[in-house]
Amino acid sequence: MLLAKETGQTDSKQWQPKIVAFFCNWCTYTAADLAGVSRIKHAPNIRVIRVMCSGRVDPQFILDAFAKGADGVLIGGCHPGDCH
Amino acid sequence: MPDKPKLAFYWCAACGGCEESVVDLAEDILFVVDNVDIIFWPVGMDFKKSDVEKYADGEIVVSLINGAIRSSEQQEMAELLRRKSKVVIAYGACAQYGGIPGLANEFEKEEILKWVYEDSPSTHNEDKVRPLLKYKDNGTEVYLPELWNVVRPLDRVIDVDYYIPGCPPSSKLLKEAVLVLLSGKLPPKGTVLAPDIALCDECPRKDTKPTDLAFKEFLRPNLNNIDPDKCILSQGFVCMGPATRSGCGALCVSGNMPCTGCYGATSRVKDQGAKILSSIASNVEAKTEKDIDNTLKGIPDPVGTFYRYSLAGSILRKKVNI
Ligand code: SF4
Ligand code: SF4
Ligand code: SF4
Repeated sequence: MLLAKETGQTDSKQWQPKIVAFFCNWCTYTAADLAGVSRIKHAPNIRVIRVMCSGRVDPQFILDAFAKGADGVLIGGCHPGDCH
Repeated sequence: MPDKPKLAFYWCAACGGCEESVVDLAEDILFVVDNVDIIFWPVGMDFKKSDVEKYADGEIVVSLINGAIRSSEQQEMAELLRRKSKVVIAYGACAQYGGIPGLANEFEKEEILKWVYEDSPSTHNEDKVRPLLKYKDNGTEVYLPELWNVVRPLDRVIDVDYYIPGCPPSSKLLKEAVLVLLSGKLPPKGTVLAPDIALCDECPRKDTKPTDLAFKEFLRPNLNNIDPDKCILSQGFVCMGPATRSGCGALCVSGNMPCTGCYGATSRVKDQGAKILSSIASNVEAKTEKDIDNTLKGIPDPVGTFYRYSLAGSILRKKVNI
């Protein structure tokens, strides 16, 4: 999401990174959902995978994502100390 | 009387320890030679490549290949044995995962050659002579095998039927494997011929392993004493037991040293290094980045610690761009 803004690349012909995002069910996923409901524009190059907690993200998932062709991995959890 | 099944042993990028484990069969080797015909074993017997070439495809019943693949010669021999054998077994950590030679994947080929032939303290080579692939003298041409850029486990080069883990595998595993093969009841292809549970399960210290670990610091066995009665990981030494397959009988722990992970991972783990990294990192007590960095200073070589045997076969495989 940030990325599209930072690089100013919205032209679909330009290279776009594929980003695998692991979102925790409680904060990040809910926030992404809310952003959608509120019709806030997202960059489309993010593939969201919902996990019950960011603590569930095993380093093997991250390596696997890169090995299968992801250009970046984003992990979203709750604020430190705010875990559900 | 029908011929006995033919068996071949071969070594690639290996240290010789796997061969030693065959010799360690001691009197059981007599049982092996009673039941099979060893038709190729460069370390122990005088056979040549041409002896292997004369067999029909698939005529050798089993080839046990140890060592990783990092040269043209090793690849050629692995391909030849594959063609001539019904079953190929990757024998030992180097063949299964790349093993210790696989750590060379942290360096470029040129860095390795420069160190070995020029810079290492024991080298005196003022003319900077390097081995040539081809050399002609008096009309005779001699060749050397080519070193590849990366070290690969055996199954990245040829089709492998079974794996016997360990650095080296215990003779017990080898004997059991030979018995299974002789029985004709072959397990499904791809099976690792060792128990599929974590080493902690057969560790004599498992009852002293707390369910909750909280690492304040990491210690190194060369600098600190290990309490011989308590779980080694709980004392702050990296013990790979939780991420390693059992089968060795917890050999190193019995000798009061941490497990370094030579039996590789169980079938449920895809990347042994990432697995132990995950369990260790999530049990570090420190919470701020600075304190975490301080705690992790006790592990100065994470790749060599967590991926000591498995780097070349892991998801990481090698340093980027080599
Ligand atoms: S697995 Fe270990 S013992 Fe066997 S060849 Fe490799 S380094 Fe040597
Ligand atoms: S971590 Fe090591 S010492 Fe502790 S129980 Fe497991 S294998 Fe044994
Ligand atoms: S304790 Fe670990 S390193 Fe030692 S032989 Fe067993 S699996 Fe290998």
